[in-house]
Amino acid sequence: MKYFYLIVCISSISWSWAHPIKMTSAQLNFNDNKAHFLINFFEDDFEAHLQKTYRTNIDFDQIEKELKTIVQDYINKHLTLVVNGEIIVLHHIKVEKKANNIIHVTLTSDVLKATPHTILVTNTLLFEAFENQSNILHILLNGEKHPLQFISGDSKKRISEQ
Amino acid sequence: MNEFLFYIKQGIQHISDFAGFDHMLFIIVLSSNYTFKNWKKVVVLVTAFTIGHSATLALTSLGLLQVNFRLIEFIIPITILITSVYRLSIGRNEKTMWIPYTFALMFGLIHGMGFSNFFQSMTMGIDDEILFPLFSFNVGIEIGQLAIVLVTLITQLIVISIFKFIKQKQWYVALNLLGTCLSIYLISKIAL
Repeated sequence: MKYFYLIVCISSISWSWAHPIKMTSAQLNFNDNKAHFLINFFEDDFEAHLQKTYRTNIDFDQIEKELKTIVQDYINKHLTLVVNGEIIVLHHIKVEKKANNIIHVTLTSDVLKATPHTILVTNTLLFEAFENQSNILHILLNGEKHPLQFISGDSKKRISEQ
Repeated sequence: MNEFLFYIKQGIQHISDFAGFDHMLFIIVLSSNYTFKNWKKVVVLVTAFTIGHSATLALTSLGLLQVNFRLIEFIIPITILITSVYRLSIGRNEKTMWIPYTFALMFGLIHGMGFSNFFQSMTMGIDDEILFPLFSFNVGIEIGQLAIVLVTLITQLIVISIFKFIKQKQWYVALNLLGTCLSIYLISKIAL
């Protein structure tokens, strides 16, 4: 029986620990015939990943034009929005550093051609950085909330107006 | 309905996540010394834990209580260690139930702050109306918690009573050794 207890102890040590929360939280709404995205990143994760990806010094204490360009480029590569079958380009970027280790990014589209009724989002933000990355997106469409979760292997979601 | 089910799913996933097994381990250790015959004790323990974590999950998520989440992540494995060592020391000769009930309630307060860390990461201030998501998330936590207790008791029943692989004592000693080893490992990992 001693061996049984020994096996229990040894197997417990081999159980790996990977708990830190790896997440982004975002909201998409449609006002004034435009798509408005608001994305929150954890500053430390985002900063480290951009630094590694773009091989340049990233510092959210000094948000300048060059940094905004990098953030926009990264988001455009990892977040795509298709409304009524048409790819929507997001620009007019605003980057802000908030309390509690959060970087707040807002992006807006040009005026949409028609009222949105079918929305397709592909979200792979920070997927290549963390295995357990999970991205939450709340879509507000015609007064109704549609919360979605994107994880590795399930990065594409579609919602349609009822 | 969409939102309700979404947050329930998040609550279940969070408490039953094998990558972040601390909450799950605490519940397993908490219910390790009991069988289906002691179901009333298990119900009181789980209820005490629920009261504790629901209170701090709500207070912290609503911004009424400010906590250092890094410190909470460090204290959570300590709650597992204390509970495991206590369980190992008393075995099944529990003369009084107020100690485990107090542990469940007090440590529930700590785990609730940990749940809030996850809940706040999901919303990050995006959603102003958090009462409904908070309620739904807590319902998910409860469902996950009850499932963990049930799986622990059913596994025990199968292993001990049906197949008689091991005895009752060996079962709870093994689970509490697991709790002790893993919590020491977590504490050292966070501290270093």
